[in-house]
Amino acid sequence: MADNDNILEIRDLKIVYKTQEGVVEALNGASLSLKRGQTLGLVGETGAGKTTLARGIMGLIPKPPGQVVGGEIFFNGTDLLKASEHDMRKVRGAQISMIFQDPMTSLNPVMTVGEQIEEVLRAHGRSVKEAVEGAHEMLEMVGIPKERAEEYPHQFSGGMKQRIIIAIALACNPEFLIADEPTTALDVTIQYQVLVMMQKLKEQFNTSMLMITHDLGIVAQNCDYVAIMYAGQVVEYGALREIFKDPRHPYTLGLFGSIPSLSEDTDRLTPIEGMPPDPTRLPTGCPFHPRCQYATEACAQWKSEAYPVGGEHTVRCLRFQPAEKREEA
Amino acid sequence: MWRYILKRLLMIIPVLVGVTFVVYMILSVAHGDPVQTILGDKATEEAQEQLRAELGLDRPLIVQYGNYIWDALHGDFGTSYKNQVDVMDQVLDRFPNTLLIAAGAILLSLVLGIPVGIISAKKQYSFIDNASMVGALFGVSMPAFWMGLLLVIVFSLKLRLLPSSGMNSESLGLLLKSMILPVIALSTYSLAMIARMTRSSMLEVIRQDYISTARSKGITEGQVTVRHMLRNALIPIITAVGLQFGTLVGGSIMTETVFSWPGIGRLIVESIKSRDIPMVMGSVIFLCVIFSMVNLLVDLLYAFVDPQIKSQYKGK
Repeated sequence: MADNDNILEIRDLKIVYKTQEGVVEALNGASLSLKRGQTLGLVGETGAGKTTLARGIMGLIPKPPGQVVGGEIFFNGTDLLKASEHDMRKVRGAQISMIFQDPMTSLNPVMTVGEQIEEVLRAHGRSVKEAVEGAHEMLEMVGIPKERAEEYPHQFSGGMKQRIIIAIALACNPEFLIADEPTTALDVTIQYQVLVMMQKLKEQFNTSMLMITHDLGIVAQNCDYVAIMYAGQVVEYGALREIFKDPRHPYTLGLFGSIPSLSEDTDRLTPIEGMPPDPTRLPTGCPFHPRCQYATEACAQWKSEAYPVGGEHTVRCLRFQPAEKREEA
Repeated sequence: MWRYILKRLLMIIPVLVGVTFVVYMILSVAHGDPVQTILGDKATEEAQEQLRAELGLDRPLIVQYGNYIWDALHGDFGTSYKNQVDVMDQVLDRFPNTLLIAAGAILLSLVLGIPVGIISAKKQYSFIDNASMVGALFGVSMPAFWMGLLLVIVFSLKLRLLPSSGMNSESLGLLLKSMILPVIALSTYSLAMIARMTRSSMLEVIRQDYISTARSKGITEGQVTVRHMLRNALIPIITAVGLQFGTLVGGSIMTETVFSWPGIGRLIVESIKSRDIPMVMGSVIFLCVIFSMVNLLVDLLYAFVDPQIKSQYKGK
C-alpha cells in the first residue's frame, strides 16, 4: 500500500501514444511521490513527458492514440488507474484540479468567465445560487472584480485569464493542484504576480501542488521537492535543497551547467551536447547515455532503476548503483 | 446594432437594382415574343401592335426597364401577361408552399446533419465516420432532380407508399405525406453539406485547450460536447445553414418542377416558358429580398453565438 503521508504516489507509470510513425513512449516507468501540503517541481525539457504525466494523473490521456500500459497512481491511497470514468469525474475538479499552460486558449471563448467558474461548482453538487456566489467569491479572491463575471475571455488580458483559470481550478477547494507550466506564456512581471498569488492561495487552502516547469528559478522559489524528468523517466528526485546543493545525475548537472553565470564573464552558453532522443526509438539502457560524458558500455545494457543516495534523494544512474548490487551483477 | 441593421438593409437596394436589370435584359432579348404568347399565332398584325403599345413593349428597352422599376417602387409589380392576375398576389400565394418544403428541408438537414457531423468528428476515422462521410459525398454530388426522380421510382412507382407529385392540402396528414419526397429530395444536398461542415468544424474545436480545461472540471462527456465543443463549432455551421436556406428557397426550382409542387420555383419556370415578364420579375425580386434578409439574419445570429462579434457590433 501507499505511504499515508503521501497524497500522491506514482509507481512505474508507462504511457504510450500509438501513432503512424510508431509507438511513442511518452512515459516509461516514471515514479514519484508528494507529501500532503507540499509542492513538487517537475522539471524537464519539452517532450520529456511532463504534461503526459499530469494528464495521466487526471485520467485525461486522449485515447486513442494514448494508452496507459502499466504502473500505479495512488491518490490518497487509492489507485486512480483502477477507478471508473464515473468515479474519475468526481475526482476531477473537486479533488484534483489542473491549470493549463496557455491561458490565451484555455478558456472557452463563447462562455462568460462567470459561467465557466460556475460550471465546475455545479458539476460537484452546488446549487445554481451557490455556484454563482462561489464564482463571484473566487473572482474576488484572484483579484478580479465580481462585476466582470458577465464578461467573456477576450475582454481580459493574459495574466487575468490565467488568474481566472486558477479560480476555476481552486473553486471546489481541491486537495491537489497540478499546474502545467502556469506562467510560461506570461510576461516576467505577470509571472511573478501569478506565482505569488498561487503560493498565497496554496497556503490558504492547504493544497498540495505539482508544478510543471522548465524554469529552475521558479522551482527554487516555489517548490519543496524536485523531480527531474528525461525521456519519460524521473531521473533524479529529492528535496529542493538536495537537488540544488548536490545534483547527482549527469543530466541534472547538465541542466544546472547550462544556466549562464551572472558573476563570471562567459561568452558562450554551455548546453548539454546532443539532442533529446526520438521517443519512438529510445536508446537501450539508460536513455541519456548517448549524450552522457560519464557513459560506459554498461550503460547501454543497464536495466534502469532508481538508487537512493541519502535522505529522500534518489538517482537513476548506473554510477550510483550500490556496491552490493554491483557484485550481484 | 440598429445602425448596422439599417446599413445592411440599405445595401439590399443596389443588389436589387443589379439583379432586376440583368433579369429584365435577359428576358427581353431572349427568343420569343410575349405578345404572340398572349394572343396566339392567329392574331392580326394590328391587334399585336395595339397590345404591344398597350404593354409599352414598343419603347426602348431601357425605358421599359425604367418604367417597370418606377411602378415597382410604387408597389405596383404589374399584372401577369398570361392570366391578368396581380403579380404580387400570385407570388405571395405561392411563396408559403415553397417555404413549407424549404423549412422542412432545412429542419431535416439540421436534425440529421448536425448529429451525424458530431458523431463523425468524435469517432474520427472509425467505420461510422467513413460511412457517413462517403454518404455525405454522394449527397453533395447528387443533383436534386436526379434524387427526386429516384425517390419517385422507389417510393411511388415500386413501393406505392407516397404520392409522386402535387401538393395535397385536404388534410394535414395528406399534406405531410405529399411533402415527404420533395423535402427529402430538396434536403439531400444541404443535409450532406451541414454534416460535413459540422464534422470539420467540430474537429477544429475538439483539440482546443479549453476542451481539456472543460474535461478537467469533472463534467460529463455529453456536457463537454454540447456546451464546449458544439457551441464553438456552431459559428461556421450557422453560415452554412444560412446560405443553404437561401439556396433552398431559390433552388427549389428543380425540386418543385420534378414534383409539380405549386411553389414559387415552379411559378418562375412556368412564367419563363410563357414569357410572362412581370411574373418572373416579381418572383425574382421577392426571392432576392428573402435571400438578403436571411443572410442579414444569419449575420445577426452570429452575435448571439460569438461574443467577440457581439462586442464588434456595439456602437456601430
